[in-house]
Amino acid sequence: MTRDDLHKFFIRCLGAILVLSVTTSCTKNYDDFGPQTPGGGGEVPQKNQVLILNEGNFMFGNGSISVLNSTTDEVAQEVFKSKNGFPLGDVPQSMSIHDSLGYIIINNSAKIEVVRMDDFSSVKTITGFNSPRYMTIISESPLMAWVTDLYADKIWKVNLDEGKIIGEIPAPGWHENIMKWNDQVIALRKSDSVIKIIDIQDESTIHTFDFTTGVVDFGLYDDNTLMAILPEGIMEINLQSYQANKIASFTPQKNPLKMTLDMENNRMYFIDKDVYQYHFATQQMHKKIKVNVGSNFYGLQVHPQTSEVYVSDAKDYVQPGQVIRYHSDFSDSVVYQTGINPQHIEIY
Amino acid sequence: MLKEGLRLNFYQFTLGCILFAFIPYQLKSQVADSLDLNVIIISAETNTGIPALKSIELDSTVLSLAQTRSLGNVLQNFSAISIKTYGSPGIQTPTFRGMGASHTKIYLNGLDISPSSLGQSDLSILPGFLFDEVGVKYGNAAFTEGVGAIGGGVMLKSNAKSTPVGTSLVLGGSVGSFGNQALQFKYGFKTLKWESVTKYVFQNGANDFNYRNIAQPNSHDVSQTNSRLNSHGVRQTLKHYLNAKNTISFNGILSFVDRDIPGLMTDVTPSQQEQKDETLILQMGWKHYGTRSESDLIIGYNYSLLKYEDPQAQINSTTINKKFQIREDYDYEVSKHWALNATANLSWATAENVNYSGSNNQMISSVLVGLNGHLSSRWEVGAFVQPTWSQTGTESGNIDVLPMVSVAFLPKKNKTFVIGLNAAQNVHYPTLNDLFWVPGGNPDLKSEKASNAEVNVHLENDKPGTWDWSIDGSGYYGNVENWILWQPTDKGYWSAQNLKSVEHYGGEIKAGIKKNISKVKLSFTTSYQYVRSMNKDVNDASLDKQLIYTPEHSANWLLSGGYKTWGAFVNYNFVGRRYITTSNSSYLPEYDLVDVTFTYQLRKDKWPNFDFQLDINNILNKEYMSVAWRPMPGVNGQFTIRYILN
Repeated sequence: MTRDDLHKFFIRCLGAILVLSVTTSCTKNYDDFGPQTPGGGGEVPQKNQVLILNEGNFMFGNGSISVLNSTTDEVAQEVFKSKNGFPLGDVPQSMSIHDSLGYIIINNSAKIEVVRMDDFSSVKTITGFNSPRYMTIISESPLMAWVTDLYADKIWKVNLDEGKIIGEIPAPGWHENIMKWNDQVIALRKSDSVIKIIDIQDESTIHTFDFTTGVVDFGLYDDNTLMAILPEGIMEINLQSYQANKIASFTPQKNPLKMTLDMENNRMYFIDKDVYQYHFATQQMHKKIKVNVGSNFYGLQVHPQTSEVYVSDAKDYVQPGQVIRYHSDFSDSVVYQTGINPQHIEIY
Repeated sequence: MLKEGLRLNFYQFTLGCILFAFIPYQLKSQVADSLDLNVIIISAETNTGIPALKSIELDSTVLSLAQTRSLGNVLQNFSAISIKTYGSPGIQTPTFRGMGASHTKIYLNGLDISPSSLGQSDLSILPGFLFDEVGVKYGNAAFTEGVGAIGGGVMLKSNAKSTPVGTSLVLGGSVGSFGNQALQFKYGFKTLKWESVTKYVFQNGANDFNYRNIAQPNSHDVSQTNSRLNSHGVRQTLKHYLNAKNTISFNGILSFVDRDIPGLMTDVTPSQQEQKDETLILQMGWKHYGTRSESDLIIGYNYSLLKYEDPQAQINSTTINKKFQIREDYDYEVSKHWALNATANLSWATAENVNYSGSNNQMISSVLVGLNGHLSSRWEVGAFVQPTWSQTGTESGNIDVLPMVSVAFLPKKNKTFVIGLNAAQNVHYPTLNDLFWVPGGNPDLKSEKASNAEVNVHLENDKPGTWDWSIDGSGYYGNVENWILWQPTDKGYWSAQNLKSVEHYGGEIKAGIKKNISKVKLSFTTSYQYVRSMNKDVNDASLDKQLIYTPEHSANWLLSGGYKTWGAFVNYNFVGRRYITTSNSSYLPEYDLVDVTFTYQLRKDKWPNFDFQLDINNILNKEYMSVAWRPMPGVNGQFTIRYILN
């Protein structure tokens, strides 16, 4: 090959690059130019549903819902986007189900997506929040809910029938968990570790429980008893007498992330890196699941009928996680794939 | 859409009229003999003096086209550096050879100008117009600038060019789509003893472009909101030639950027985020030429203020960075074929933020010493060692001793054909945020340790009278240990930790060809980058997977043609798939953009000199995202007039 041949070959190569890129540039355009996740979708299980709310990453807009059938082990990913053609939003935080509708509170998108539970089709979007966290339904007719907020310094009053905010209750501070109890609402003001009892009728705070260390989570143990978990231990709160007693002390203190109650077996589970089980009758605490290197337990739920324990693993927080279903005696487990940062587990 | 985007409002029209009215027609203009307006050219020349290391400089034609663009846009379109753009107007951060944003250092006249709190610069707030030269040092080439630039370095110069004695003036104005308008002013003079350059650049825009929001039901078209940008930048350079051997210089840059930060496409509530950036850079230099030596001393002070507000999230954060730096470069010609190179760097940085606690300062010093020269007419070798010392807060210091070796083979005994090999170790220290942010800062972090080896080949046509062409190719392999990542903890907040290792390898190829055919000047430059940058030492599905937002493939080309004083340029830019999960299960699709520019230089004896430029960006109106759910503009245009007096 002569030098001139080399020059011609070189020029032809550059010409080919030019033509090829112009051709592809002129012809290729993506209808969906946003984030792509191959393998999403799938048939949504209609029975024995376990819903996993995947937070995704803050400002990535990649929150999603996974649905699994605990009997057949089928899993469907990204069920909201698959059905509706648009993403769920940025950081779904929690979910409430009422009749045939699901209410998904999406924190950083400042909205509640209302979906039909049979196919996850979008019914409506309720907007106007600041940074919503949790909701509880307080009345049936009209269907009303209260919604807590991270930054708004208020609890939102939402008419779910009309799909809009109709008012607000002044509530300075970061409000997190909220739960209806008789004619009252129990809310956690996380910013200063206060559990508040609010009268639904006149929206006034009836009582507050102030704790020195941060309340992480709570759940209703029986008709009149609330169990709360703190770094220093487990608090039993009598909602009639307003007495709070520490029934278990953590020495040294723990960093609990999430708790759930197993009413059938009179037990509590909580995550502190590993998963612990506390038995109320025997007052014994055991480490039941040790976290593996590369795993980070993030969500927790107990099946109310089978007492199976569902634990979610967020891995490195930037990849799809897993949910592991443990038999109630931890003799067996099944692993399911989820979306990114599986946090809220809802058994339907 | 273009028609809509190019609308002229009354203010823009008035601005144009004022620009014309103030043109001093009575001044006798000289005819400029090139397009050069203190601008950036791409060339294959190495500027390290060590042929085994790879670096390029951008100049001339390219930067004359890019004067109204941010440094981030210039690098994205015309270099091997991949830029993450968080919407328009949003911050721009670099990814080079698969490394993180803080692993690409931005140097101004040799001093690192990245704020020490984040360790990375926002390239969107650095207007290309303010700089005389922009260069890129690849991988180990940046080792000669100090420590920390594992991926490479962006070399900005504001005192590079020595102009002829006389006076020069450039006054430019632009109007464009989405309410964008810009002003550029440059005044320079040079006498036998003094040289001064003053530059001012202003940019303002609404950036309210339309886009198809596929994150909302029915994918309807919407206009971007909360996207206003207002920026001012001033630069003053002063040189005093004391005598033939000594020059002292001063450089000052002051910039203010005030912008709104648009929300994500997934948002249903309009964003109210706002960011203000203030930057002050002061540098004093003294250059001395000895009989067999050259010394370059520079002392610098950087101040930056970043104020971020998000009323919805009740965030009102102000971070102030201050950094003092001293750098001395000393080259001594030991013999005809051997040179001693030494570079000493000392920097002391501190940052203020209500989220800092304790003694939040960092001192880094390094001394590079090496010998570089010819073993024979075909072989050049270099050996360097860089002891480095760092101290943060009240902790005792750490010492690292970092080596580098290079070998170059010149088959033709000149630099038209060079094959170079080099290898080095480098270290990247944790940023002040990594160390001191409360909560989550980790004072016990180890520094990131990098090892890198590369091979570079440069070949150009040395036969006069034929096509003028050149090819540059590179391959590299390296790894970084103690990679710092922020991750959630069991304490309920995110914390910085040394979590994993990263292995990276890849290659770059760049080719260019030029030819003058009669009065037509043609040139074509193209480059392609392949980057593999993988997670190691992890126990999940991210093992051996590509780092997020690191395109495996990227490419660009520039086709330019000139006839007399007319010019036409087509710039193609391809960015490959970028994964957005560490397991590579989700990704942003690849995109390619075509920008077209037409220029005309009015050069008539009885007329003042004018340059006219029409830019049409994303002419194929591609929809794309650089960062997930951050919309980018479709086809848009800008028209620029510059008055030039030399």
